Amino acid sequence: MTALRRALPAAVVAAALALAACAAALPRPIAYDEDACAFCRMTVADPRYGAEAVTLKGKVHAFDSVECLASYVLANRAEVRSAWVTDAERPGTLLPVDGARFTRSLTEAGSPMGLGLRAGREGALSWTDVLALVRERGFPRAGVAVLPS
Amino acid sequence: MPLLASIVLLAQLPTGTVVVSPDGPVRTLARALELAPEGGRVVVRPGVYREATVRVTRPVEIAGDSGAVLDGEDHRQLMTITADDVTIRGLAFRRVGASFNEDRAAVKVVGARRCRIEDNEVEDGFFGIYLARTTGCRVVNNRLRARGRTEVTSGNGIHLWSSDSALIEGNTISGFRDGIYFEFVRGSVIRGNASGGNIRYGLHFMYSDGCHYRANVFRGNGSGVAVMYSRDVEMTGNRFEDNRGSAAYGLLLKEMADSRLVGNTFIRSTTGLVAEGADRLEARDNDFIDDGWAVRLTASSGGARFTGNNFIGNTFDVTTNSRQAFSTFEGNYWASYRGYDLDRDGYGDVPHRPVRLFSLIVEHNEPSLVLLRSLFVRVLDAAERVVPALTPEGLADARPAMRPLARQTPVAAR
Repeated sequence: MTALRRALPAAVVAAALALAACAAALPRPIAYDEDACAFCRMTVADPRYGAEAVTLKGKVHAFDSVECLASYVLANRAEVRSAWVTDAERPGTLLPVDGARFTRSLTEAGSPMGLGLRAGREGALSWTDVLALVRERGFPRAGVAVLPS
Repeated sequence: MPLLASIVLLAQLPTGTVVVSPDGPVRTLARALELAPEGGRVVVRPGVYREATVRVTRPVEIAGDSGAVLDGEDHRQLMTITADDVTIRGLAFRRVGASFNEDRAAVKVVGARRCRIEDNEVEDGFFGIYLARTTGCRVVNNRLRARGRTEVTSGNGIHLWSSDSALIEGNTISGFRDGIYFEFVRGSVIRGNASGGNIRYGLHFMYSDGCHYRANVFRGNGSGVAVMYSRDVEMTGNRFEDNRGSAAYGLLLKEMADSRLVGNTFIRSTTGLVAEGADRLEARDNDFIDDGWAVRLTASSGGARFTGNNFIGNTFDVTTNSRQAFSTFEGNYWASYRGYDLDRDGYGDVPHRPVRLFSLIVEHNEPSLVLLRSLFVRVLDAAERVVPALTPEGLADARPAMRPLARQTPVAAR
């Protein structure tokens, strides 16, 4: 009985911690073909490019591409606790953006949103470069030619 | 004897034609393409051909007899075309190898002009027909089926990247990620195709200006159809059917400018049309029938005009996320209209407000949808209709038609 009485507060503390952990900056696996991109609304389908942002309130947003994640982060910086990108060589593996590197290729096997950004463990660009690129190019809009030459 | 027979057969064929058959002198397409002269013809006799990816590097026509099958054994792309004026007709392509690093296709055309891909069949495709940097190609009357999602990935049925002046007509497409996919395409036409049962979209436009799609049927695709980030797109006489699910819609228009949506049918879908950032959209003579939400418009869709549309049997005809009216509605038929026509001109004498108060509540709190059929909600809607307090006051049809507007073809065969 005393043991129980002593264990109870510990259990309450543990439960509270577990609840707090729910709101931590951890991503969840992306539900491909079901999640809709929080920025462009497309259904997230290509497992090489899925990305996520966790807000300060613990809400997890899925994105279909590095471009969309960057656009969202640029627009909602104050609310984003952590941001994650898929290692394109290892679908299903999310890397924190600050630890990821990025490459850009404008071939037909590009990215879902046309800027050709791809995340991995190696690459010429850092997350800061990606944000700068997306800010500079602006997000592609109707009628703005972004046709690769 | 077979050799003699094939020599006789060869002799009967016009010059420049090479015959491939499983037991003849030429047994692979690769060998036939070496033998065929420029502008010549390769005839493929019935049989299953398993060989390395066939590379077509000169203008030539490849025609398959019924039962001529090229089999990729799940390992490779089947055919790559890099020459102008190539025709591929009547072949069956089986078992394209899936890969998450490479866009492998049954037929991939790269940097070529005037290709014709006609009357072929793709079975177990990863990507089906893939055009990159092409001009003036025709993809007509092909039947394409995919194996659906593999462990890692899925591909598109007819995929165009950075191409112009293409015609995509009369194809049947199912089981791919997107049935028809356009990225950086200009001045192309998509006509009379049936694209259904694809994992994501029946049709998907990205950055493709000045294109036209007409008389296609998009049925039961995972998320419907998405036409995004493009301008000057014409959408006429298509059917968007049976798209159900919380993120499914007949048609999603996102960041579009100056597009026309005319004479289409949106039927039996959770949401018929979603327009987000669709500037100056003209929506005319469409039928919205038996949808959950017929039209969802966001405030960012400036200057949209809805005229001559029928809204019949939808739970919500129009919803929006703003109290401002930035779109106009005129001369539409609303089955939910409760007004009267004393001057008998065929149009109601009091305006119709299609946005229900309850739809705003649902917009903020989805579970409240269970109250849909309650008396309380009906009273609420009626009160709001008389004295609009929360719904956009300017969003009204001043000339609601009293009868469903007639179409040249009967309104949706139900």
